[in-house]
Amino acid sequence: MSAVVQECRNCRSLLFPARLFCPVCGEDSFSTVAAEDGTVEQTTTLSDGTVLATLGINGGLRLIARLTGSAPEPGQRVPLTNDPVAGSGANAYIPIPPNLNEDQS
Amino acid sequence: MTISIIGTGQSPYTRHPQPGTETSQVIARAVRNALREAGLTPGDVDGFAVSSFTLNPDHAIDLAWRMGLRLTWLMQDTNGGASAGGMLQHAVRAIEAGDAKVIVLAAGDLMDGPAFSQLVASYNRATQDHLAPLPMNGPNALFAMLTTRQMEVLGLTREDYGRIAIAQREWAADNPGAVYRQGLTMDEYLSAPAVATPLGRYDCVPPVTGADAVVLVADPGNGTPRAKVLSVRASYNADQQAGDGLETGLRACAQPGWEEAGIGPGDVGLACVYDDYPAMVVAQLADLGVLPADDHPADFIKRRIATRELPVNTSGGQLSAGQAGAAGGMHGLVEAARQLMGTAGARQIAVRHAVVSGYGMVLYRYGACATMSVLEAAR
Repeated sequence: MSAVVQECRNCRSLLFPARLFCPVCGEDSFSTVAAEDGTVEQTTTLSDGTVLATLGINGGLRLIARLTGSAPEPGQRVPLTNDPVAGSGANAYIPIPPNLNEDQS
Repeated sequence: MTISIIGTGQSPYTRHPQPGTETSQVIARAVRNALREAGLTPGDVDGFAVSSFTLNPDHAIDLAWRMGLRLTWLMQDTNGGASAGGMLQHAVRAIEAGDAKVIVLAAGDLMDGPAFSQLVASYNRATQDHLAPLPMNGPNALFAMLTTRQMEVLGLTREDYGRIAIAQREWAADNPGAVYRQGLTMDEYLSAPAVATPLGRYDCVPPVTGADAVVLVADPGNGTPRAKVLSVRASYNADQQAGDGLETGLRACAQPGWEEAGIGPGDVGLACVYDDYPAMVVAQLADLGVLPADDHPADFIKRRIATRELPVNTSGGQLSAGQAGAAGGMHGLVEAARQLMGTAGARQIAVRHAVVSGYGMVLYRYGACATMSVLEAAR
């Protein structure tokens, strides 16, 4: 299980959502990499019971996700997925459009 | 040369617009009211700027044509809650440069249920691709998590945010243009239905249909009550969305903004800050220096905001008056100008200097645009 994020080919900064120029080094050549899991930083529960979270992943990148399964507490690590129906186990869904897997260089 | 606001106007805010209402009509009404207050007619105007999410398929030039304005300066600003400051920044420079003499700034939206749903689902590409499919409908969940971060960092409780919402509701009681004017108790605030924990109903702005406008000229002289623009600053994408959102772009605006104005944050008698959520009121007051770094935020709210020792968002703010789409950015500017011009009616305060902030355009996790304006009462 993993979710796709953008990586700068030059300085290896991880970015999400995808950028046009790297905000760190200014280069415009990117690849995509798979992020396996993230650490729950904050959660919020909506009126319909949906639990959304801010997750930190390696490199300081922060993603907004929907948590499924038993809602983890802040500080816990959860597997990331781009699949909205990834199963009932604890995971964090990160939506991406279908074309994001293409190499963006 | 100093540039001043000499007229303000609104199209009445309403939760339920009449069927058939168009954005252009709502904006035109605010423009007409602002020109009337300034003692001017459409024929006197040579500069116009507008911000709106729902003007499509029209643009600024279509509005100008339909209002009969013949112009030498025209702009359209897309930055929502920060648009008023952005338009003001450009307009001040345009008058100084001689590109126009009488500029009207306007913002407004038809924001009924379908328009609001459409706006929040297709706000930008990041929202379309990465937030709306979660599903997330609008920014409440993002600011809920930002509020949680701020509670941890500043040691604030829900009661502290409640004091801000309640204080603004008390101001709204004296604003006939506010959609919510009945008093709000702490019990009601705390027990309101949760929208996105920890945010409840009274932490979120009611979307309304409406518009706001101001008229700007150089040095009117002749004793006309006016709100002189002492400084305007803007910041866009200050941190690349890589921070925690607790600091806004205002942090970078503050020092040059106060220096140019020639006063400090302790000198203002009124702060109109962009109140999309109470946490953002705290963040912006802190970034501007109005909430001093060595003061405790919870104590500041109790001691200065709740007591009206420092009037904040005297119209009731967007939390009580309503958020008319892009006009949310103009709301505080109109209120500050009214207070400085002495046209604020039953809620009029004695004030010489005001600071106005704009904030907005959530890119992915929080707002990326911020504007700061310092105004002074003059004749």
